[in-house]
Amino acid sequence: MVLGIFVGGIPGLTATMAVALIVPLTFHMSPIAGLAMILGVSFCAIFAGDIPATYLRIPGTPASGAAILDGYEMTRKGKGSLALALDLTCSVIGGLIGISILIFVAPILARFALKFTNFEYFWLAVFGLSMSAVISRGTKIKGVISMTLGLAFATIGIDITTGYPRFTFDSTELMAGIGFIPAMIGLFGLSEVFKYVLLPEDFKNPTITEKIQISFNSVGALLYKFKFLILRSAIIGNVIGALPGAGADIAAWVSYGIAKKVSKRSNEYGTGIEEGVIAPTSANNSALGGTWIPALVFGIPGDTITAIVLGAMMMYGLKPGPLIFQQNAYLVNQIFSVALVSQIFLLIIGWFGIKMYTYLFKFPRNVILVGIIIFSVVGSYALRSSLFDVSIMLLFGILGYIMEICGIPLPPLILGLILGPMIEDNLRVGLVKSDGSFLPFLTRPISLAFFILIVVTFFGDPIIKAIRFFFRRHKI
Amino acid sequence: MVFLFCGSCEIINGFSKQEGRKPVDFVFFWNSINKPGPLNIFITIALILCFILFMETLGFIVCSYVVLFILMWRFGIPLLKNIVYSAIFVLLLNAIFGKLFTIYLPSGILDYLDF
Repeated sequence: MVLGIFVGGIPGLTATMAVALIVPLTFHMSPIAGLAMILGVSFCAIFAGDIPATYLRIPGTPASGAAILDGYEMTRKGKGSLALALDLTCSVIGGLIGISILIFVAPILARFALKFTNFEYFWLAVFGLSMSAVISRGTKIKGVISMTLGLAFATIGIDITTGYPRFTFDSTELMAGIGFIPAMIGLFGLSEVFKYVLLPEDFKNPTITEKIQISFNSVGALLYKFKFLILRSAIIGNVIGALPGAGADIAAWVSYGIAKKVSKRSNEYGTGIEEGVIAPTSANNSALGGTWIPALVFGIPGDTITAIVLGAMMMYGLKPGPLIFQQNAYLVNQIFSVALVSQIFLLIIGWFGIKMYTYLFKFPRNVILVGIIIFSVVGSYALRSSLFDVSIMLLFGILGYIMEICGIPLPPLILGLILGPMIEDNLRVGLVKSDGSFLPFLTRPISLAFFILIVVTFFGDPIIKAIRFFFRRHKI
Repeated sequence: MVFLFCGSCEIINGFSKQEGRKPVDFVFFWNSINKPGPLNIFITIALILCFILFMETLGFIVCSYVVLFILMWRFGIPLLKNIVYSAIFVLLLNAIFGKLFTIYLPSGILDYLDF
């Protein structure tokens, strides 16, 4: 949790990076200890991103982008300590609501998911991939490019069905495919460092020199006053988090937008009002709970953090999916308990974290960046004691940096890498079951529903425009 | 096929947005590469490659220390702090990964020390 606070609060270093860096440490622990560590880091990192957002107008993580608008304005009005107190308490409450929804919804969905066959899983994975490509920042085309790159990388290694090596170039290391965790460390760790290395004048300086304080005066009254806003934002955040590819950042922006639209004081949003801080901070931590729903129930990551978690779970020997609720019910309950307890700890550690940041922001950023580089190198090596994994990490770091420059989003690539084998496996088994016929992929009700959803995801806008044009032309 | 389609779309998009486009300026490109920032990226990549190539021979401690020292020097950290920070980082990583999690970290030329 301390690492989460540390990384999340440094502008430019994301929660995903914090999780990617912590994963190599967790492989030598029991699965629940490892998952507890990942949960703690992710919740703390998302909250900590609000600290520089409030004081510096720089989001610590992308999920804190929406919190800047009113948080920073409150600081300018001399109410920075109140904004931080609201950040912390709303993050905890939002997180608790998000986890509660996860606890109640996930087992029900898992029972429903037991009816799924290969045909449904195929479309579900394609749907997850399509969502990530469409929702991610940048154009749809760039999302598709990233997604296809991920799918292409997923084909490397031994073909599961025929046992034939594909794109391995006679390399024994490539037979097992591209290492998922080194790829993640490279994409989200090293590529971020490259971005900051380009600013040598800026990165030698400490991030902040003033003292950061927190005050809980009048927080209780404000929380009571805006209880429905907190509840609504947390639910919105959770639902958006559950959509594959849409993470805490989108959840925060959407809940801020809805809060502004619904509010009687909508014209005051952005000028430093409490509602503008409460809405996004309740939503972003709640979204984390939402991202675990598709991850645990279907094995489809809700965002990049759960994408890493899925990779880690597979390395622990766990297979996420509806059966995990029956075969590893004890572990699932432990995950839920840890997630709830980590919210309580967030309140305590978050409070200390805010105090710590006065000193931490004085630390030169270049030392932290060097630390991240060496931790990325050693972390990717430590997974299998393989220097080949370090090369993979380096290659993906360079690729991630080039993609960032070109404005191509990274999450679809990761989802392509994870979901590629799932899509291929279910397509092939489905075709074997149906004697090579594609019809069952479209005639079964759930499959057809997913297919329609995918078509709407990609072509929803042009279809709506065409319908509107038709109605307008015929004056209906 | 998907790449061809997406690439074509991006090219068409590029041509349709004529405003704000700049001709390719190779002198500007070289000047921007020759600045400390991009040079630091190349050095970082080269150092990681050296780490991959020489870790088995030199050992984890020596290799990491050299990489850290050069990186910190390039990133403008004063010499004394550089020496101390590099040593702390290496010992910390060795303690966490090598001792706590008992991951094999090659000792290389320091093999005789039984560290």
